[in-house]
Amino acid sequence: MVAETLWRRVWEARWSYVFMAPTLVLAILFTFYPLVASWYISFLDWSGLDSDREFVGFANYVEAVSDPYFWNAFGRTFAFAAVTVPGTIGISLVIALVLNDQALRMRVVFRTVFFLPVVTTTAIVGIVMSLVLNPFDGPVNAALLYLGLIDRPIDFLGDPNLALWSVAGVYVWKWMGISMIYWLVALQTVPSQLYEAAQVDGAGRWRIHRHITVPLVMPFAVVICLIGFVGALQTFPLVQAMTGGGPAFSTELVEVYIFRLAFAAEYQPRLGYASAVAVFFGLAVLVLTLAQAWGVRRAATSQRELRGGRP
Amino acid sequence: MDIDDRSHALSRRRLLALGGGALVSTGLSGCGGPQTAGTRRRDGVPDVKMKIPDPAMSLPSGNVQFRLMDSDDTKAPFWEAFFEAYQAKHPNIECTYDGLPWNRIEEIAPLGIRNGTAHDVFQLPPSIPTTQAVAEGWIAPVDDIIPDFAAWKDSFPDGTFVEGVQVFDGKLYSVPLASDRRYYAALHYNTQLMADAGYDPQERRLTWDEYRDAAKKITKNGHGRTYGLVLEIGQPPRLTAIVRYLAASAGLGLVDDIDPTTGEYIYDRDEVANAIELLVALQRDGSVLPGSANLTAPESWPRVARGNAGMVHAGPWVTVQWNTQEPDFDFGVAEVPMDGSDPKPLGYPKTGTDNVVVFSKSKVKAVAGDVLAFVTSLPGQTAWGKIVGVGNPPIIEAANQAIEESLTPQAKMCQKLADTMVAAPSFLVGNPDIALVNRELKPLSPDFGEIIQAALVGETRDIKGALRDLKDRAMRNRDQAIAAAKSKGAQVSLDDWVFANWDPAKDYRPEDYKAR
Repeated sequence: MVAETLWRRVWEARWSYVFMAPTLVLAILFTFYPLVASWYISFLDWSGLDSDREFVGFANYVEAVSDPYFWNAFGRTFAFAAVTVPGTIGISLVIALVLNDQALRMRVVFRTVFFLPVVTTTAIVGIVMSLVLNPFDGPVNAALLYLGLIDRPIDFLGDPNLALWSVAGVYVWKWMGISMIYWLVALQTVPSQLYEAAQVDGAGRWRIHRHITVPLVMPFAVVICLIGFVGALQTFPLVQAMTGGGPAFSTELVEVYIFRLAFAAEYQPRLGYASAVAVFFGLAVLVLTLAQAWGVRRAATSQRELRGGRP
Repeated sequence: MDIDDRSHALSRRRLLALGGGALVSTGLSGCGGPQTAGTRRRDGVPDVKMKIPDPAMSLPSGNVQFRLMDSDDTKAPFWEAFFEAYQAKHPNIECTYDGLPWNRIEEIAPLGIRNGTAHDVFQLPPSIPTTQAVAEGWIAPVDDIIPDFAAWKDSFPDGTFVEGVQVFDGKLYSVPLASDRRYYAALHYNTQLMADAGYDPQERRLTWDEYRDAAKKITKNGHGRTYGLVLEIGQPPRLTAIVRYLAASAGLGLVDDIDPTTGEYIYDRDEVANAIELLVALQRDGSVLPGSANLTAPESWPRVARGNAGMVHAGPWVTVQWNTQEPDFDFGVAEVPMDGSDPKPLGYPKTGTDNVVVFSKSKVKAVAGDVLAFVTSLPGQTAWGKIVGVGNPPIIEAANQAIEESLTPQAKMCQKLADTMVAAPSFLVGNPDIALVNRELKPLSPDFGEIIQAALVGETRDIKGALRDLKDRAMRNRDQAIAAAKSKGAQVSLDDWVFANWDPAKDYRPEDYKAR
């Protein structure tokens, strides 16, 4: 009886399933299968090439926990996110506030200009920016030297103390446009009557933003932060194109480290161990993201409760 | 040859352009010339006609396909010319050549092996050791497919084929097409800039002090537009080659980072630390091209040809590249600078390079044997030498003499530098079970190259400490690998790395192995 109704419901919605099928098949092939396969492979001692696979249980995970290269990459990855997420979100909020002003002329042009890096291929951005930042003939150093701000060219990508932050700068520039769009959407949800009322009351631009815009778009900030945070952990193409993880591992983020373990030609590939590192890292990110979402929601709830308490 | 060749190339290119690009080009190569990854005929490549002899074994009579893949470099023009001639001789054999960068071979070879569609003849990527390919049954022995195998094998220099390198259980699996007697870190320099600095390294070998001084002067004369030296810091394995050559030039004898007189790793030797200190000093002088920290070797060579830097350490393949691509660039080639009065020559492995293997599931093994037999014959190797050049010199010695007059002055210098090298002893020849130990060795991290890189970018200040630590790790690693190999039945001990009768200045001959 139950099966019959279920079958009938499926049959009635058959076209929905037909239209879902291509996406589902692709998702199974290219997302779910690799995901599950990497869990399995992470328990093997396997180069990824030969038929010599040995089941080693949790040995790869045990090794990862005591691997200094992994923990260095792990620390760098979160330092990278800690700098780029507030950077991207703060700068894009300012830009969105400016561009949200209906009176601003050519705002579509500006919006496009800020969004352009987002739709440009990451590898191309990486290669072009490493030319731009080149200490020998790059325009940035040429300009700084010409202005007399420095007397020796700065090796943005060759100095191990600087390279990660140079990549972070490019990352912020490249992805700021997408956060800007999110903010613009958020800003457009603020009813214009509120602004008009505040203007009538004689509020200045700063006070309008402080007391109307910011509190009303804050809930969006949670989502934008989360998206930004997850994005900042997925930096492989940019880092690979700009520094390849060097010099002396100073820009080796976890994804680049995983790539080096699994595929880089000069090393003996270790697909099993690379998968274990990837799964471990994925779990760590999942836990942190959940904690973040939970914390922010708690904060928002308590804020609402506080507000609700007031007359 | 130049003018003819270039007009030929131009007219062909124009034809393709007129005919509408890719479609026509595949159509053309399908019925005429060999198919290549990207149809190109390069400027500056000599036009060598090859006469393909009648096959000594029976080849398939029906229409068949033969596919070959290698790492291109400067080899593509040879294969293009060869397959053109080969297809003219055997119209029923359609030949395809794929010259690809290593990272593509790294992807394509394993996939092809796995699903049975690998090229008939190909180069194994570094991630697949020959031992593994043999053990897995991926590649076939060539003993039965090369005509008159015993005589053919004898045509190679003594000591070329070694059990554990290309020979496994007495069968030959991997055929070297070129000699590895190559001076990997020759000083390639801009003649004018070097002369302005007051030196002529071809006239008299530079000392380390003069080398540093030349770099300083070139930088000073360059006023920010030219620097003394470009260093491929972004490619650590290349740094190890430069440091090994410099250390040898300071009097250290070495084979594979080991001192054969003691069997110990050389990392903690003063000559090694001093060589790294020299490069660090050049960096501190401001003589190294800014931005070198991220450069790989192929990215650094054009910097010299373009006048951004005065010198680079590079192998003979760079001579070939500049001769063909920058025919107007006036450059010199010289030995690495030396320190002290007792520089040691570098050793080269007798086992050759540019090895190719035959896929075990190939349906045209007879064709593979016929192709390999020709390419390693004197006419084949002479054509190879003339087209590919000194970057991958012929392994058959007579072919090297045959091409001598066709060489540029710089290429002749490369040959001269190669002649200063001596045959190094092979630990594997001493005891084939060392192959089993090598299989158990774990990659060191950080390795030699990474330590040099860290010193050059200022991450490591205590270079000697890092090198001592590296030596300790390397020795321990080998001890563990020996123990692991022994537990699997290998007969091997630390003494197998000791060659007491080794003289770094002389060829190590086959009879020396017995006398050690």
